[in-house]
Order: sequence, then structure tokens, then C-alpha cells
Amino acid sequence: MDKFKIFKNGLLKENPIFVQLVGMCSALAITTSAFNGIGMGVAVIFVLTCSNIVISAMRKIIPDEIRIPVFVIIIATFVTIIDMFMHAFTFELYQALGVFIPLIVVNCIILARAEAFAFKNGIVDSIFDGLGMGLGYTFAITLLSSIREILGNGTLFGFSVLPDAYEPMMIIIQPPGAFIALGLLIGLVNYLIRKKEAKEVK
Amino acid sequence: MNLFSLFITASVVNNIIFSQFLGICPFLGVSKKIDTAAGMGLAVIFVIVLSSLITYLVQIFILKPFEIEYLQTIAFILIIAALVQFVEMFLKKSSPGLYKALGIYLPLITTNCAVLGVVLLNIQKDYTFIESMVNAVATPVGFLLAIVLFAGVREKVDSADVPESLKGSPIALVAAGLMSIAFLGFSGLSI
Amino acid sequence: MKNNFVKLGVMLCLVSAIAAGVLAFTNSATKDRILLAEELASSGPDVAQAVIPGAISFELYEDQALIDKIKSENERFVELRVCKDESGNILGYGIRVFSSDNGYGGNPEEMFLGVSLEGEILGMKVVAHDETAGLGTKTLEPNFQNQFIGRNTDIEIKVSKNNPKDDEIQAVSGATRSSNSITSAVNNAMSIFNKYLKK
Repeated sequence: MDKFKIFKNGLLKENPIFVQLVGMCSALAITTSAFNGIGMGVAVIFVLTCSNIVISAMRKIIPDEIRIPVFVIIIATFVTIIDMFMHAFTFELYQALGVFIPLIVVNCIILARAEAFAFKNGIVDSIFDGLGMGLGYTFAITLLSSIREILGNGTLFGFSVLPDAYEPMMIIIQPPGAFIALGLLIGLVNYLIRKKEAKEVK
Repeated sequence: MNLFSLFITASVVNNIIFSQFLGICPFLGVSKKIDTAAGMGLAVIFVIVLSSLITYLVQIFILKPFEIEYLQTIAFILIIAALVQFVEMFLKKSSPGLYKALGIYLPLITTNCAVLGVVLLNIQKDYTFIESMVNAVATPVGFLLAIVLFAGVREKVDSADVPESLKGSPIALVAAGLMSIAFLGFSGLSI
Repeated sequence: MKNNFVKLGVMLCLVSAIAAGVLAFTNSATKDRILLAEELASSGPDVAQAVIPGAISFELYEDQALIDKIKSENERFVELRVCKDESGNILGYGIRVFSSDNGYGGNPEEMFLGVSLEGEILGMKVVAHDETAGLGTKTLEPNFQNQFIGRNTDIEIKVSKNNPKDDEIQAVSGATRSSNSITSAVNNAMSIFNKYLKK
């Protein structure tokens, strides 16, 4: 398979958040500031790529019957590693993301890629798949968190981007705003996809 | 904190769906009908209470004394996975009725982040044994409440005239957002 | 069949053992760094500067008997530090306490309050919080916190939603609970100063 195609697949066509609708918990919970979005995205890229590599490398020796527990152990190991590193080197981010770092373990994206891709494909393809899916996830939550931060706080990455006269929409930063913003964003993506498909048919 | 206020806080004020965002996947996935939503909710209560009990004991008697708390995530997820499997086998044999009602939801629960979330937060928040048990009951009760109410809303939304692009998940998310605004009202409670 | 079970079991144990080994290694590599990060975030030079501007040293209070006494009588007290400037003059105390009202996430906030020897509030620093970014976290910014500075520990501080009176501070709009929580922590620290440290 064409490497670039695998990569692009995860980024756009099968974007985990916008199209597959998996990994929603963290997408809703931590997207209150753009910085959090990027931090979470990097953690997911790391775990997804590493677990894809290891699982792909071991796919010949893992017996079918116990593949799921083995996947879970491998994923949990990488999650704990990134947890320790973030605790040690990016303390503020670690505090902001809180329990959602260990919860990457149960982020369906990672187990789904292990089962659907890494267990059936070679190492190099799996790396591209991990990077593509991870970047797709990062792109989606960074977009969502940027929108929430701009509308809800008038800032982006902590810098003021809107004039002082703008009264921030508090609700967007609060929990309800997460649901509504993500719902409308997915709606927009659906609209764009439908428009593109209609064009292709013509 | 007294136990009653802990219960109210964990079930409605800090509702697991609407303010903590744990367990969103089943919340969106299994909320198309009220009775399946209720089944999922009950199964989640069952699993969270049991796994909170076991993980608490493991934390206190194994991870802490041996100073291997860094194995927490890996240990807890394996406990939950094994527990779910065990409960499934047990129910199949001992009470086929209950198995029929809850069985199909059980495998889905392993990857329900609500379960791992609650057991991790129990430890992180330094709850005593009693407090974590109260939290372990109250939190999934909040989940049950949220998912059943939401299924009721969704049954109506499905028959509404929604713009094509918003059909399905997007409109469900927006509806969840509106319900979440209603739940914000609980945060005014001072207990 | 039985043989197969054993084989699978051994395989699972092996994978778990390798995972545990890898984690033990990472843990030993990052452990000290994590402690350092925790230490810096809770009582590093940045914290000292925020608690009492101009403070260079930020040492734990030496009289252990007093510390034990405060701890036994006030469960929200965490620790007491003495702030000194370059030439070793004592500028004041950094009193670390929990809030009595919980923050937005349902947990108490933990903060240092900087108080001069005369009982004037000089600064503050929240070291652990549970707030929504962009909303509750506004209570961590100078706009909100500067309202406390210059006040005297004698007068308990209250929170008002609008038009604060002399003994009141203005809550962050939309984050009343967080504002209450921070204020309760400040009041706790002030009462500790009044009871044990005031000359």
C-alpha cells in the first residue's frame, strides 16, 4: 500500500474524531485550551505509534486467543511511560490533563488500530498508520480546543487574539460548550464531505 | 466531606457524563432506546462497584507496600478486563435472565473509560474505603440517570426534522450539550 | 488443550513481566526528576517570588513544636515557610493551607499565602487546583488575586458578585465557586497567622 495514502487516510478520510467518532472523552474533556489539545495529541501520537510498532513486530508470535490482553498490556506500558515523562518534564501540562493521561489506555482509537491495522500489517505501514491517526486526532482536538479557547476566553495559546470589547462566551469553555462545539464541528465536516461527494458525482 | 454530600456531588453535581466527560462512547453509542440505555447503565453500576472494591484492595495491600504504584494503570486495566470476563461467565451460568439483560453490554465495558476513570480517581483523591465505595455507587448512578434521560431525548430527536449534515451524532452531541446546561444548575447546590 | 492453556498462560506472564521490567526501568530513570518537578512547582523560587516579592530564600519554619501544634489544631494547615531577602532579613511568612470550600472540581485548593511580620498580605500562589482552564483558572491570575494584596489579616475577607464593599473581593464572573474556594483558603491562612504568628 502507498505509504502516503495510509498516512492521509488517518489524517482526513478516517479521522478518528470527526469521522470514526472514537476517543470522544478526552476530546470533550481537555479541549479547554489549545495548549492542552496539542499536549494530549502528542501523548496519543507517541502511544499509538509505539504500540503499533511493537504489536506489528510481534504479530507473528502473539497467539490469537490472547491477543487482546497482550495489546492492552503493551498499550498500558507505553501510556505509563508517557505519564512518567510528562510528570517529570511538563509538570503544568501533566496537572492540566490529569486523569486523562492514564485514560489513554481505554481510548478506543489505540486498541482499534492495534486490532484493525497493526496486527495485520508490516512495521513500516503500521508506523505510518499510527502517525496518521495520531496526527488526525491531534488536528481534530487542537482545532476544537482553539475554537473553544478563542470564543470562550478571547485568547489562543494564552495570547489575546480578540479585541477587549469582545465579551467571551463563558458557556463554550464550560462542559456544555464542549458537546455543542464538537457537535457543530462534526456537522460542518459532514457538510463539507457531502459537498465534495456531490461534486465528484457530477 | 460527609457521605451524603459526596453521593450527591458524585452523582449529579459532578455528573460523570456532563461534567467529567467519562464514558462518552457508550453514552453516545447505546442511547438510542430507553431500555437498552437502562441495561447499559445497570451493567456499568455493577462493574464499577466491583472493580472499585478490588482495585482499592490491590492498591492498599499490593501496590503501596511494594512501592510499585507506577504499575497502577496496567494493573487496574487488567483487573477490570479480567473482572468483566469473570462476571460474564458467572452470570451466564448462575442467572441466565440477568445475563440476557446485561450480557451484551459487558464486553463493551472494558474499554469504557468511566470504569478506569472512577477507580483511578478514587485513589487520586485519597478517598477512604467507605468514601470510595460511596463514590463507586454514586458515580455510575449518575451515568444511569444521564443515559436514560438522554435516550428519552434522542427518541424524540430521531423523529425531528434535522438538517442532513447534523443527523446522527452531531445533533446528539448538541442535545447532550443542552442537557449539560440543565445539569450545570446542580452546581448551585451548596451541601 | 490443557497444554495450550499453560502455553498461553506462560506467554501472558512473560509479556507482563517484560512490561513491568520496562516500567521499573523508566520509573527509576524519571523518579528523581518527578520529585524535583513536584518540589519546584510547590516551593521553588517562582513560588517564593509570588508569595512574597523579593524573597530569595524560602525555608521551612524551624520551630517544630509550633508546627506540630498548628497541625494538631488545624487540619487544613500544610506547612509554614520563612521568606528572607538577599541580606537575610525576614520578609514574612509563607503559610501553606487547604481551602475549606472545595473548588469547581470538588477538591480543596492548596495555596501559599504570603504575610508580612506585621500582618499585611503580600502575595499568594495556588499550588494545586482543580479548575476548568479559561474559567476557574481566572482565579489564579493577578486580576483576581491582586484584590487580596495589601489587606490586613485582622479582617475576614468575603466574596461579592458585584460592587464589593471594603471587606469584600469581586468574584470572577461565572466562577463564583472557585472564587469562594480561594477566599476560604486565604481566610484559613490569615487565621493561622493571627493565632500563632502575630507578635
